[in-house]
Amino acid sequence: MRTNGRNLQGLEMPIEYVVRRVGLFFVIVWAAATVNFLIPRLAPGNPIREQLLQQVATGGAGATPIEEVVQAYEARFGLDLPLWLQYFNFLWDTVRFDFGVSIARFPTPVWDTLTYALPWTISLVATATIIAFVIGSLFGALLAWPRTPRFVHAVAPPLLTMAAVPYYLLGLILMYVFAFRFGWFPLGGGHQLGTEPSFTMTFMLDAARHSVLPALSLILATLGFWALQMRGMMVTVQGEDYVTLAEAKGLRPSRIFFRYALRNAMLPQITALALTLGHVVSGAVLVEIVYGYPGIGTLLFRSVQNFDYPVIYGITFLIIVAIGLATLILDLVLPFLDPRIKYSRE
Amino acid sequence: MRDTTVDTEQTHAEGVLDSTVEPSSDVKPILEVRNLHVSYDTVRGPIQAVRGLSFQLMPNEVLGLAGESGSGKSTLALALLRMIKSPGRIVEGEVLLDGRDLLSLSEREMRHVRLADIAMVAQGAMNSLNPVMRIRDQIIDAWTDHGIRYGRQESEERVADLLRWVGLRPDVARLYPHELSGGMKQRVVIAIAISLRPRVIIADEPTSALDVVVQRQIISTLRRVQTDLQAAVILIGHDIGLMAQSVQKLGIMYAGKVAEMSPVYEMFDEPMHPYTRMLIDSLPSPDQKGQLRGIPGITPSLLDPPPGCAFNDRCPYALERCTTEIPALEEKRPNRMVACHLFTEGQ
Repeated sequence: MRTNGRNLQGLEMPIEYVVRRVGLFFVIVWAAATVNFLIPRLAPGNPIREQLLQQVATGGAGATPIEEVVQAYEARFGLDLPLWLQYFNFLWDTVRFDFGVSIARFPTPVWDTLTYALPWTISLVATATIIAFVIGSLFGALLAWPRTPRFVHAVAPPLLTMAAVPYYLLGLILMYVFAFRFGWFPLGGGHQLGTEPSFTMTFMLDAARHSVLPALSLILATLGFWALQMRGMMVTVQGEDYVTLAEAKGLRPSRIFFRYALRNAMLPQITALALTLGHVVSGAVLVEIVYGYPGIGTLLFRSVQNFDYPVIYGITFLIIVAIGLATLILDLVLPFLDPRIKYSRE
Repeated sequence: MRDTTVDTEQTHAEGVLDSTVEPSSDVKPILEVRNLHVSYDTVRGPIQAVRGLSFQLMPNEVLGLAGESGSGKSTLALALLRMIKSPGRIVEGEVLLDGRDLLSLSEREMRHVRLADIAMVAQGAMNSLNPVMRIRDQIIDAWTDHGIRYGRQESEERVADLLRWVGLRPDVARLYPHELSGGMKQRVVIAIAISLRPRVIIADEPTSALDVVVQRQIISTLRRVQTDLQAAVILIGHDIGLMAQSVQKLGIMYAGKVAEMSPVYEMFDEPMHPYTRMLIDSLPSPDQKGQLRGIPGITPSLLDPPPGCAFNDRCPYALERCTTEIPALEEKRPNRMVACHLFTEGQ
């Protein structure tokens, strides 16, 4: 028969709730953006002086006195204005997704650096997260199921051990074995040097080949987390009276497993998945760096190194929006998955 | 409905051919339990939760099984449906449904016996329904898995009929469990239990977690559908006051065995087993307000049960042989089965 997850009749979503929830999303984004604006300004160090001093150190400085250059650039970036004016400029720019230009990679617009790195990260980290979630959850559920064949239990210890290894270390090991020793996969990067990103078949296949090892290290490292959490939930759910009654009803074991046990054990997993997906845009910094992957993680790392305020803003804002969106979608979807969750406050 | 499944027809056939029932009586028991042993394995050895239990359930009979916690009531209920989970296991014995031994069936065959032949009204009304499924779907999925398929319209009608049968409005079908009260949920559980017209219904503490008024309603609903279906019912509980009003025959369980099983009026008029006597004496009555009498002592460890009668150390009438010889459950008076050395047969 109909499953309740898809059968939405009788569960109407009050428009008032949706409006309030979307409004909350914008408030969260605004508040987070404001904090995001203030915090770096409390930190010591001037981005422009920092950049120039680096150039001096590497012998790239010109004849102009440094202070004059600093002042010129501060005017160029609007850093000489009073703080409140900087704040309003910042908000106005943010609304238009104009994060200015990168200081470290002057004069590339921040938006361009973000939109270049984002697809790389999303395709790698989101795919890896979803694969790890599906396999891990199913595996965890099977571990807690009495009818599960023995060989599944045999796979558990190595997988759970793998989960205890930090994923950058796992990344290095995989790289050494499969890229360096066997040469099955490229050593790093997102695509072959000298090729331009495009939507051609050859490029996509090449990019996929480059992402296998980083994805594998992410999957192997996070699989255990999903599996353990799911196993715990399944054990709890199996003690519930409705699972006992389901068996007394003479239901097929597969129906009891999926519709009664797994279906209920999944609910906390879904919440965790939504939040994890929200974090996807921050990239997997360490894995990306280990593999020299051109994603957001690498970009973030370089920007922090270079005091590249605008890029850091851009990335942080992206993360805020992504997490805000993830929780928004979660709040709108969860009542359909768990009817006990009410839309409105009573 | 039930007759549409192949399995149940086989059950009938085998029941007719079976000759293990005494030829003298014209009515054969629908369910017969012989020498059932159920243990839970622990590191310190097996805990014998049910130790050689035997009884017969006649068609259309309402049998009560009462006993204190740990006397093996719920273990028995699960064992009859072969739903004992590891580390528990059925050690030996026979459970004959219409003469067919359920313990020798394959798991697949046993699955079809559940609900279609033996249904359970479970303990814990608050939590017996899947919180993420509508009532309608939880009724229909049982039919589907027993190989019965109706059209959409017919399913809806049958669900509505079932709900009306147990005293619920048909529109309960589209609600979720958390939208129902405890009593309504237990009615739904009863509706599920009777949906395939089983011949035996096991109700394991069907009224626990319900208030007294609702308890009466649930019991009377159960009695009504039992009469409609002509099914036999095993009512398990510890409230022998409630039991006395709702069953015909009452079995008193103690330490995994039946101490006494008698028609309920005769048992209350003249309890035979000392445990039964003390249990009935311990019931609070309005005449003796403020006085609560218990039974001194504690139940024996089922890890290492005593060699004789399990009740001998709490029994004021214990004889020498009670400490060494386990009393068998025998018909000491007409219709009265007692496991006690104090009585000799036929007296």
